[in-house]
Amino acid sequence: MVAELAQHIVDGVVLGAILALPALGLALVWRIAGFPHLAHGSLMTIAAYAAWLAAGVWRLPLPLAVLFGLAISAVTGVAMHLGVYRHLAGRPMLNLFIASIGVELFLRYGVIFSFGSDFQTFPLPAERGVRLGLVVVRPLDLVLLAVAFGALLGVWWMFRGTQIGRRMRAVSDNASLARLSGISPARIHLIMWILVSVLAGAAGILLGARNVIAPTLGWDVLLLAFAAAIFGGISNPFGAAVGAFLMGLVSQLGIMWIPTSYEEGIAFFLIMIVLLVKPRGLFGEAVRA
Amino acid sequence: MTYVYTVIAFGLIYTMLALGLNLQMGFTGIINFGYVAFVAIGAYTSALLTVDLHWPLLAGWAAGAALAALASYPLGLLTIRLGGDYFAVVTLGFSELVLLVVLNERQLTHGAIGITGIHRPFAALGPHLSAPLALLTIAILTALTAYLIRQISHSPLGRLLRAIQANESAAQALGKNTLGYKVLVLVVGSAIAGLAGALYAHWVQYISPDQFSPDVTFNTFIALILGGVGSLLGPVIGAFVLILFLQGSIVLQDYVHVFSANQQSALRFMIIGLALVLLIVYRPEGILGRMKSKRPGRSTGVS
Amino acid sequence: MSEEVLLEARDIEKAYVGSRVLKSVSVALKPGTITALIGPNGAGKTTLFDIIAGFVQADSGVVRYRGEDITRKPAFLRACRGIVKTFQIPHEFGGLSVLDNLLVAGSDQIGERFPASLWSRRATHEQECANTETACGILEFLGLLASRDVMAQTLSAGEKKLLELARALMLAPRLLMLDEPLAGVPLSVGEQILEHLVNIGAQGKTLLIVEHNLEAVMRVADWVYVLVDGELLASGPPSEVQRNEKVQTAYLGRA
Ligand SMILES: Nc1ncnc2c1ncn2[C@@H]1O[C@H](COP(=O)(O)OP(=O)(O)O)[C@@H](O)[C@H]1O
Ligand SMILES: [Mg+2]
Repeated sequence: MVAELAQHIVDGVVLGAILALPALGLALVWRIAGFPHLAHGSLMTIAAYAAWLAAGVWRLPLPLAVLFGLAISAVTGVAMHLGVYRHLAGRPMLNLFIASIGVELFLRYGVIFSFGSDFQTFPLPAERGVRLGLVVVRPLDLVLLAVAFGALLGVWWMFRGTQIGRRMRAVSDNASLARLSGISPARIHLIMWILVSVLAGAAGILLGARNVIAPTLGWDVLLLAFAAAIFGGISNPFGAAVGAFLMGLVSQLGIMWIPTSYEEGIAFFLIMIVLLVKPRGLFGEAVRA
Repeated sequence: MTYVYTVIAFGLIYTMLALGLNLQMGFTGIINFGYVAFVAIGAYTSALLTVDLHWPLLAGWAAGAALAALASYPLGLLTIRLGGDYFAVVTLGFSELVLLVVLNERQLTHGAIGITGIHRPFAALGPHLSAPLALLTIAILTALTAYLIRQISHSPLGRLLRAIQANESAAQALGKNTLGYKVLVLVVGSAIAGLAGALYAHWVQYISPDQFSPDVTFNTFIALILGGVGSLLGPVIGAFVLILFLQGSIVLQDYVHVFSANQQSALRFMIIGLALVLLIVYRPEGILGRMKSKRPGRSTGVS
Repeated sequence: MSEEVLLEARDIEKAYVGSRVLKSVSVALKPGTITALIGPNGAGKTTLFDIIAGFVQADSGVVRYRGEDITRKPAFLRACRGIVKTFQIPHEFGGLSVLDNLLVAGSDQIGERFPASLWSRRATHEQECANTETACGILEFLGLLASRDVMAQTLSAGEKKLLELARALMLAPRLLMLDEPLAGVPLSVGEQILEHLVNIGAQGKTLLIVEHNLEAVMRVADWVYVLVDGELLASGPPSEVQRNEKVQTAYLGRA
């Protein structure tokens, strides 16, 4: 029983680590660009396919393939911003929201068009679980945790330690105030999109390596990532990351009692409960200035 | 001929879906991204009641609409007070949950296998008569729905709904129970979605969970945006343009062999996605355009 | 006490992260009087308005209306009970015509009920006619009649302020709260509005006004509250407040 619990906790942390990256990005987009970004999942999917193309088809070394995947997702994110969202700045949120459906459909089916709807897998060496005390951990999960925490720390450092990061945080804390104080929104937006695309891309590649690569890889976890972001409080990007770990834990512990097939349903219930109790998320208010 | 009937039937059903969504989004500004959930509830309710319990057809349809409305009521009460963006994400989650229930509660819903043997209206008259008569029934119900929406639009209620969309706080300051009206609109729109779902089930005669993916919601949004959000004629035009495109490209598939079938259907959705983006960027008022000069923006309480 | 007071807000506290916007503010409004709330920008006047009207929840404190605690009542219910406020920044229904903006305000409309709106055509029509007549009277008085059919979003800023006032007048509320009603309005129209407000007061209605035109305020108000940095600095009849030294240095002197 204890071992089972411990195993679920480990799985929850791993799931949380994956979710944290897109959740953080979703929160940043929501705060800075002002809408829930429905095409976030396709950034993950595209990065996974690009990395798979480089590693599995072109036979590039794995690190290079990962870099390629991240670069492609960054380019895609910037293209979305420059090609679509930038033109809709200042329009009602609904416009941006719907445009992001269009982008999602275009990219998702673009992936199917190019690669078909069959699953793909990364050419990874076979691995054996490592026993750590009570639990068995896949080496890949350790890599995954390291990358996710590294990325979160990196963003944290960026927000604290660099000029552009501080400005981005200012914009995300209070967009209108920041606009008044003369922070150039154009550059903030551009850098924000690069940042969130790379984060989403990293999550996509990790998820693809852990499971399989499919055209709905990103879309399938998007709702969980949204739930995590709302859970933690959209207004606070790191709240969103913490929310992701809580989401991961709750949903993995939840399947000890409810059928696994309802795992995704947990996300819905968590969103509902959190929003009903704290309409701005768990860490929502702390940041509002 | 049967093919033409199906195109028209789908066009009418999507018209009805777009009418319900227009009441929610176009008039009142409610962004319901879980719209397909209510379509599914209507379709499954009517299918199960008529197939498994042998209810009469009309009773099945009424129950489908009623249950969809009933399901939306507590959801609305709990979540309509959230901001529009939160509401959108919550409803998207709700539709995933409904899909999960349909997939997993096999005893009740037949799970992934779906429900076969759903009757068409007038099935007893044989296939040659039942198809046009069923189509006529769908057309009449769609027209009635359009009439209902028109009456609401021209009444003080429609005016109030537009006011709520333009500025909710101002409507509250004038003593209007805006949350109550939003729940009402959610419920009425869901009833329409439920009825459309029931009509769909009885037209295609076979339903399964994969027919009720979020793509249905997105298609309805596209139809509505094509025709012009908030306009009265828009949903009809948008729905038929969308269906003609979708079905037309399927026909084209038989003659053009540049891409594989899989690629062609993917291409279809890429074009839809692209069209959606271009519409929003260049013609947010729809292809007809002239309906409304400028839609009022989302107004949150300005401090 | 409650007989003499229509509305009372007591010990109202409100803080936004980092700053206390209202510090234990108490006000009381006597029926049939005009009360002015003055103070520099950022003093917390609009916030106090919003707390009284139900748009913002106070952190602590009580709002009582006609002897009843309404602190937790939603804004629309307060409006139904006769507490109507205008917004400092006009909240017009942009896509609706000016006349429709006023017609929305009509209370207890049969045509707004569902599904009754679908069949009570006749009753709806009669009510619409009556409301339109009232609305046109108000529009004429405010000089907006000529633009009754134009989209509200095309009005100038000053006209929008008038529209804001017109909608509130449509409800003929027991307590009318106006947030800077004269800002951006032409002087001559402003004079007329003031006169009208005095008339409304004479009819037994109660008014609470935030206004920067001090000369005008002092002329029409029966009672004045001075709010500075979230604190009530002084209160009393206009003549008394004008002489108050603290007010002179803190506010009037600067203005
Ligand atoms: N929603 C809000 N969030 C944070 N601060 C606010 C908010 N609303 C008002 N404030 C602050 O409260 C103070 C008082 O504002 P307000 O009531 O509008 O003053 P006034 O109407 O007297 O000019 C101002 O400093 C303002 O910045
Ligand atoms: Mg103010």
